[in-house]
Amino acid sequence: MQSSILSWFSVLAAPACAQFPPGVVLDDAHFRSSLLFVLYASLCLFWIVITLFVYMLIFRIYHSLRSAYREKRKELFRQGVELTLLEEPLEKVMDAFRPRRPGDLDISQEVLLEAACHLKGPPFDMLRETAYRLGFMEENLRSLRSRSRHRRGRAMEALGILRSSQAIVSLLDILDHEALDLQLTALRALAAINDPVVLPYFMRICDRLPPALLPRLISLMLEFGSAAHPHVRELLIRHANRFSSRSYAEALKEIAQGLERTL
Amino acid sequence: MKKILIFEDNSEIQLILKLFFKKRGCEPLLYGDASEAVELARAHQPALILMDIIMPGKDGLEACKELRSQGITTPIVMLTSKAFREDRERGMLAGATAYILKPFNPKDLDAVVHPFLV
Repeated sequence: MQSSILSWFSVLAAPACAQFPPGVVLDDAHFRSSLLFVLYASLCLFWIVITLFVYMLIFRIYHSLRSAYREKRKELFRQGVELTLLEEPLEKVMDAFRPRRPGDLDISQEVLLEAACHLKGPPFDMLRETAYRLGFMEENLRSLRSRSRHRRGRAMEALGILRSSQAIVSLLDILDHEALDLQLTALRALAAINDPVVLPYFMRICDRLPPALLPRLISLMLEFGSAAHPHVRELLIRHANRFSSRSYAEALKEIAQGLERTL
Repeated sequence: MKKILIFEDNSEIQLILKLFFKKRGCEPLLYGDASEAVELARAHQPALILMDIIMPGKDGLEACKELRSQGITTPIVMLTSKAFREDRERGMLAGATAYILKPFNPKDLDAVVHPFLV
């Protein structure tokens, strides 16, 4: 029995023995320390793999339970969308969207935003009013100062979808301090809010943007309609040397499409 | 009850359209892709087909062309976020009857689909 265990250990120790040049004879002490090293290293690796596997399993279970829970709660709040489309009174719609449990605010808002970004006219106005009265706007304005960049980005998107004009000052305020991707999210939100008063800020930010993003900036500016045309013209003249031929062509394409939208 | 075939991959828009047509006394049949559009149109004989342009698998334009080439004359309303004239023209050339842009006002959609539902 003991010899069979030892023979297995010697198989395990084979890589450790391989570190010695041929012809070197290992004494018992050397052999035993190598054997123990390989044994402990193998055990450590084994437990690391098991721990990672268990962690991944728990992570996946947590996520699937969480998404199942969120989906169930979303179903509940979708009644709010239904009532909006049925043109029910605002109080009824608000009741349907009102958060009932801790964590509901996020889910309720998500359902409201998902519907709002596909709708226009009176249903959109009702959803926006609901968001305002249920305090979603204030919550998002607070989230703009959150430490989590993911939360800040989501708040910007939400304020853009809800076309919250109260958010303009806060969005302009954070433009200077955010990373490039969040700056673009803030610009998208400002373009969605669509108040031409922010156009000079778009002009100011184009000095900092990489040239490859200038066509995207032009496209966002053109969402403001004809009010943006003088600014776009100025941008093209002032930053002509920053455009590559490709990005200049892209910018012209954006302008053509923007003009078509305006017409 | 008039059947409406809806090909739209976005679940929120599906919900909005389902409620929209239910409110008008129709039976909406929702599908996330248009790969079996011809078979479904033949099986259900809908009064109207609503089709998104960008979908996984077969896109709306391709499905629209296929429906027309198979002799299906049901009115097709394209529902898309593509706002450019070129895209609208492409949709009409593929055989679409009308066009609605996303995001949409249910009243505008009503104005477009109402003639096909009376």
